[in-house]
Amino acid sequence: MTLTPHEVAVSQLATDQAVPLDRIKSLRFIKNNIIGNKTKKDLYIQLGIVSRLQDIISVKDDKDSQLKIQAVIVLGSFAFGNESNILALTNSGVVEPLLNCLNPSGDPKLIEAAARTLNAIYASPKASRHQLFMGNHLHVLVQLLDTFSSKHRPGQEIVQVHTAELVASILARCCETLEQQMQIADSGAIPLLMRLLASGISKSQEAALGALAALVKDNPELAQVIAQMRLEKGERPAPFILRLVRDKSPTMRLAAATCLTYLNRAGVIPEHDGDIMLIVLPILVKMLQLTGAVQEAAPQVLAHLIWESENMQKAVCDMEAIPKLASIISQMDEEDNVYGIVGQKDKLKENSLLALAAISQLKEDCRKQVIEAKVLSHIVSAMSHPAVGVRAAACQCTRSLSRSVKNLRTSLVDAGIENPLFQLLSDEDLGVLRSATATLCNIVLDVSPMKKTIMERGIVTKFVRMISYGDNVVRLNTVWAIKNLVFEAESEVKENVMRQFGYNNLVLLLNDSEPAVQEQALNLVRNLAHKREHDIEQVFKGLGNGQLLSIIEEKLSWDDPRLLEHALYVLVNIATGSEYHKQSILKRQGILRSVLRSMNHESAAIRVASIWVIINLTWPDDKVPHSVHECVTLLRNMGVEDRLLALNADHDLDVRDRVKTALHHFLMDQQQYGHNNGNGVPSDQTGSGNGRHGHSSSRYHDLQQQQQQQQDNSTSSSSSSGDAFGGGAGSSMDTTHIVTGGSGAGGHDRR
Amino acid sequence: MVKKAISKDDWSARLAEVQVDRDDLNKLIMNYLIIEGYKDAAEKFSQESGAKPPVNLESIQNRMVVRTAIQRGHIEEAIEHVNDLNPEILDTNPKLFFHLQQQRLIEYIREGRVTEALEFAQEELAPRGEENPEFLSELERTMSLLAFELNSPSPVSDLLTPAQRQKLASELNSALLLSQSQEKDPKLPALLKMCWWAQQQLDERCTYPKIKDFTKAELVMEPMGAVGGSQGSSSSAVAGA
Repeated sequence: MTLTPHEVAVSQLATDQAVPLDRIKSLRFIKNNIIGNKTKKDLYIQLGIVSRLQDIISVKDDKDSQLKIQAVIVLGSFAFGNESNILALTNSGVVEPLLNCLNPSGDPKLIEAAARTLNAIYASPKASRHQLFMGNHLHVLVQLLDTFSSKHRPGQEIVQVHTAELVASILARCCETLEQQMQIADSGAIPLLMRLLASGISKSQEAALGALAALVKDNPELAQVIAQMRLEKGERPAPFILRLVRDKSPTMRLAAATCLTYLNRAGVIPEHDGDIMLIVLPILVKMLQLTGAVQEAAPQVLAHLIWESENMQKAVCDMEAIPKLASIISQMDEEDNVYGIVGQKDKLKENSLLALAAISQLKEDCRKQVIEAKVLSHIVSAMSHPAVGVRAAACQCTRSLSRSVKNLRTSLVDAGIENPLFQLLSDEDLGVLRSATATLCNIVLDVSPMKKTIMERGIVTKFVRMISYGDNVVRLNTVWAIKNLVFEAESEVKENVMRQFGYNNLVLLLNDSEPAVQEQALNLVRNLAHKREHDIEQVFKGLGNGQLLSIIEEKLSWDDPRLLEHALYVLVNIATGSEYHKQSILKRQGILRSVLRSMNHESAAIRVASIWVIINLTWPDDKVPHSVHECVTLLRNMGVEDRLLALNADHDLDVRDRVKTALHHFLMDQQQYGHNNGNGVPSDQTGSGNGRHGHSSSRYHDLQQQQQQQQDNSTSSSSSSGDAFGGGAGSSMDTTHIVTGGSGAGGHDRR
Repeated sequence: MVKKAISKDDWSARLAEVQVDRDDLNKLIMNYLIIEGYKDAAEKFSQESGAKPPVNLESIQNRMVVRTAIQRGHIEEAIEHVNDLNPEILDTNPKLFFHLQQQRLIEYIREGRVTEALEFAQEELAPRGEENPEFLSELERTMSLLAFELNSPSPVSDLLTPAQRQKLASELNSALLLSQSQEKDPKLPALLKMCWWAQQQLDERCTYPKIKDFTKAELVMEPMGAVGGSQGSSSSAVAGA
């Protein structure tokens, strides 16, 4: 059987070949076959070429540099192949010998070739970076940035400059974690990068910008260091880079804009806030109309820059960024329809969706514009995209849009968001789950018609699964969603939910390791026990009589104001229930003492909450007047009335108003039963006390009505104030996640 | 609308007042020669005009070699040369690579080596089409060359012209320039385009001596027909009334 020319070429590479020239010829033959040609790359890897190449470049002596150079170049071409090619490279252990080829005593052309190949390998997020940080490699690498070093050979300046550029690019690609950033900084890279930045050679400057950007991303410490450095003429980097952001080359503009974005986000160049807004932002928006790599990266940088900034989001809206992004996305969908989803433009789609998510994050006007741009159907279909990054970005979009009440009703429903969202709740990617659950929080608010349908589809069963998923953010978002689901819901709905969810799960959440989760769980209990005696009874039954109040008692004894407030409002709601419910509270000295203590809490909101508890416990009820009296007496003996009297002088208006109502109950009791309170105030109506009493008795009924309404409103509005920000607080959980561009699997993080 | 008319003398006088620096002219020419890769011409021009080339002329030698290879139809040789200059160019430019492979196919067909052409198409081009569906229509067009007699005109015979090779040579040249981070567009054609556009704008407002052929750069007066015609008809109408 005759061998193919390819097989011949590979066999010629064997180390026992006597004639090196033949090996070089074979390498060139192979090289010219595989460059640009994916099928040939696969072929040669099948033929086992990687290990042969590894043997060649691992040889210790420096004689055959031409042979090594060609071998290194061939390896580099495989790095442009598909994923399996890259894996073949990294799994074979070829990175280590490549790093060794960077030895400064070697042929500069070999060093350049090795740097080029390593740079190509590191372009893939899946290539492991740890060898670079071991031993002497990082140090050797960083020294190659020094193009002015006396160690360099004359006549090789161009090669050395190219090498420095490649090294800067390698550093940019290997700079994804905090540790890596710090290690690179510690190796002395920064001053050398600064020199490259000021070199005046475009490619060098771009490469330096890339490395500096990667170092300062999400790293306030390094951002500060770099922002404070001085370039050769004494200028600081930021103004220098601001000039580069107006360069005629789009890649330079992008590199400069990216660097400035990360510096701005770190808060280390506040003096340039205006420049960022007036110069960088419009330049990024204009890049949306370019093509290629610049157009692909620009939306992500834009999203990063404007995240959580109302001003910038509004400015970008005014610059008509939304129609530009919309046309990018819809055009890609058209092409996908024609050619089938090939996957090359996935990153562009993902980044464009991220940009839309960022623009519509905070302002209702911007959301409206997104809807008007008729891109919603594309967003929804992107939620089912095969690429995980695209799915997650699309979900971010829907999350931003779902913060608007109006949108929930009309556009999102019409666009059919329900189905894909439901599917995404079973997605395997963490980033997607986080965004999907956050969107869900807003979707299930009472104002949404989706609430009913999503329940019928079995959303609660999914909730149960997500609670045990093991991710804090997902768990938090899920509890939040359940809380919103039962907010002001019918008893039937509440019972349905809790029957599927299970009170035992609720108890687990109430004792969760994350205080934020506990807070939402308490809020959930509050919503469950709101409004109807029947509902309160359900909670009592579900949790067990003793357990509910034991839990409340425990939460009250903690010092966490968020938990305290919600726990108090649970009591507020329980106290609107039956006599039995009220008595359950009154029997617990621990609870009553905590309530009393809360009346002096430094937070006015908590003081108000605790007084509401008192108000509701002492609410006059003609059916059981004696019980009310007993209650009042009990509280009075604990010193509640005294405390209330003291609070008459509270500086908060809300507190003072509640105090009046509460005191009124104590007074009425006094009037009915004629007991003296500690202050010796006479009990008759027309007494010399303040004329207020006279007034208040004539308005007794009205007051009661009004207060009853206020009571209801306060319980519901408090739970709803959590809901309105349901998306909001949820997003603050996820902010860091999004800001790092982590919309996909771990590999997508930190681009 | 009555357009303003500018006479040839008037126009020539105004043109004479415009100062164009000889230095700038030389730079424009040098810029064109260097970007297009005409090394010998650039050297000669440099000697004769005294204009200094902004880059080391040796560096354009390589691009010259590549361009010449393509113009002669030696595509494989051009590819090897490009890979020696910069091994990443063809790996990062799938469209360019496809066009090079496509040209190889055309050369096989031109030489009448039909079997080899078919094999080549199957082994090298079909996979490219699979990887990038947008290349398929160009591929189909090239394949249909096989259906026609070589020397007779056909809907795809433009593929056999030297202009096709020239197009490819320029595409490759641009990629090389870009990889060396040099500008890839010579300024001279851009200036001519500007001139053409300016004339079009001016056409709406006046009649004047315009350049119709850039190679001759002769000032040609617009015929009076259009404007005179309408005047004529209106005056006769007036006369009638």
